[in-house]
Amino acid sequence: MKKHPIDELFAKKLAEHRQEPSQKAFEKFQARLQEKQTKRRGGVFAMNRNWGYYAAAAGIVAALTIGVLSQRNTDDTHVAANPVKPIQVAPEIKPAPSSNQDDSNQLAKIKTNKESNTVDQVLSVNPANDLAVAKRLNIPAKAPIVKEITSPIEEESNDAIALNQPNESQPSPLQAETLTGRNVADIATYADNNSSIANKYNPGETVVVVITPMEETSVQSPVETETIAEKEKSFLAKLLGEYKHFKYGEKVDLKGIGVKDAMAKVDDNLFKEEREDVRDFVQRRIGRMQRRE
Amino acid sequence: MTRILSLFTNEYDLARAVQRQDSKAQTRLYEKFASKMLAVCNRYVGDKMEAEDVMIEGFMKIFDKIDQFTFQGSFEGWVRRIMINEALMYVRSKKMIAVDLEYAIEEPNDAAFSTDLEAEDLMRLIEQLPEGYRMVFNLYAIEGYNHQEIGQLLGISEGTSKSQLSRARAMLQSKLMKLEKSVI
Repeated sequence: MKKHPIDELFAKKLAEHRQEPSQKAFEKFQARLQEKQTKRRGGVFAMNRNWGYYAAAAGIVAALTIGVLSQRNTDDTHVAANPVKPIQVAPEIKPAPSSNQDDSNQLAKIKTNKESNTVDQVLSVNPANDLAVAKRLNIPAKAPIVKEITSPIEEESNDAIALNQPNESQPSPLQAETLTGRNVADIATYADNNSSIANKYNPGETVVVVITPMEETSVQSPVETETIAEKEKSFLAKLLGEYKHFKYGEKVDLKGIGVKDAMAKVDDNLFKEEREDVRDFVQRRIGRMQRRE
Repeated sequence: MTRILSLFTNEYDLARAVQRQDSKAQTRLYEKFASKMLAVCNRYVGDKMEAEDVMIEGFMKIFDKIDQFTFQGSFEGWVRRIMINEALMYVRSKKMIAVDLEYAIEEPNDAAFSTDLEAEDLMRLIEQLPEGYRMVFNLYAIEGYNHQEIGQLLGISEGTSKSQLSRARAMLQSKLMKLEKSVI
């Protein structure tokens, strides 16, 4: 069908005709576009007006998840934070005489290095004298002994060579490793020596005093290594790790994360019971030691 | 900016980007079709300032209805149809389209017209047409709608659409003859 000439003329000229819009039109377009996008975003929040509550809930869930994950990591090291730990550590300072039987073999080897030990011998105090001083004065007198343990082999060798007797006060590093690997019963036996020394003055405080030298010593047993690894964790992670063990009316032990006052606030009576238990334990051990003697 | 523009060399790619409500694609759509669509709107509205407002509203409608585009046929044709509808709605909302059925129809002759006339001259002739004539002539002569479709779009009968077209042609013919005489 043939198109009308006027239609053809206008269609040909105007079908693809262009007119440039003004800058103002573009600005209007941008404004409308911005308005449209703002409405769309507002619409999303309007659909979820309680989005703040959802965000808070999500945050709590995330915190709990982190806590559970960190707790799993601390489960293995948590055993090291129990109250038995100081008693386990004690044998490193004052091992039982029976363990010193092995020292004679080591001392024979050490004897060859006696010349190099002379300097240490001059600088160090006689361990037997230290023990005697500790008995007479107070428990903190052990601190120098612990420091001297940093060079235990030399001192031990001197005493053993001179006396040809079991050394009661100083273990070798080899002994320390052996002791930490033993079971609780063995450790308790070693603890008798410490308790016998401390009991004459104040049995309740002896446990605390034994802990202090171990923090100062450079000798690191596997238990101490785990403790250090635990210290490196963040406070929140440690607290969350300990949280599952909290029970109302029970002792809360947060010493591992540096919170000491929390114990007293939870339940003072139970804490006293704990101390009394320790005292009874020490008394019983001391009694056995005295009976043996 | 040129890197962004090069991303939408294909019309369908542009349409897909607009479907994702990508603001850069929406701006690109405006830059690509604004000049052409302003001319379309201006042919119906008859005023450039008003036509710009209609065109912007048309773009907003395109962004709202972009999901209805089926990727069959020309994307530009789909955009143009939305612009035409927007312009018709604007004209109808502004005024009633006057239809004078008693007006004597003057059939235009088939005389050929000079093609040297510029598009802007022809645009001005269309702008001088009464709104009813202008709507029908634009839809039929330039956009290619038939009278049935025009009747549905404008809410008039096919007969009215035909009479409006005939009167529009006669009016344009007389104006063109005057224009050619003045040029010569």
